[in-house]
Amino acid sequence: MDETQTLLIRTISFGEIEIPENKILYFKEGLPGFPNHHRFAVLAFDDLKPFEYLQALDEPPVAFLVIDPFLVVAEYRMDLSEPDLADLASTDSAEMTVYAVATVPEDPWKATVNLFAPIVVNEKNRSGRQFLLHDSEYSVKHPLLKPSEGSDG
Amino acid sequence: MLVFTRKKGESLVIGNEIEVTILNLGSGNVKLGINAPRHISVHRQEVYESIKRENLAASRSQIPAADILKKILG
Repeated sequence: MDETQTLLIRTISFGEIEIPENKILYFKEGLPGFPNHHRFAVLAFDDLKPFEYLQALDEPPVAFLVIDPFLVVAEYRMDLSEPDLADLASTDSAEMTVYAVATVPEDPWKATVNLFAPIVVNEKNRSGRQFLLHDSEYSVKHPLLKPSEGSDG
Repeated sequence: MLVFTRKKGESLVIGNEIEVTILNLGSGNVKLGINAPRHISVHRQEVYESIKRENLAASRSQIPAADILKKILG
């Protein structure tokens, strides 16, 4: 019987983690700013909710806090062009998972999420890409917390 | 940097697959049409740079403390 291949990786925040081969996502173009990172995995931890961790498996180790954009803006919508969908090799939204990348600076009350450039993963062929929604009004820095919730009111 | 002079309606070919056409010349701006294979993404430079910058900032994110996580979407 075949054993599932795993990849042992070193993460900055979670130590060494074994990634089963069938969880590896391929980003052909990398991400803007990270053109040489092609392999990623989404790691879920209970005490990180509502975030997940998009961990790069190529060196040097980098990772991103990601969140379901539909949790941030319930009516979030992305209109992908036909070439974009062709690139994803899917037109079935049920096969796709959408992530928005969060930026949490030292002052976590200033946390933002990038709704302008969502990451879309085709779960069937495990490929992913970050899209720029040129015709949308979404912000690169959408606040995650309302200012009124801040520690100093 | 390679520099070309082109008239309205003329094109440049980059590699075997990318064609850039001057569609219109205005005062202070130029309208370009780009034919490229679909795996080549084309973006306005300043928009692409802003996403690069944001991804770099995001990669330096701190993992928020539990009480903050509870406030998010809470």
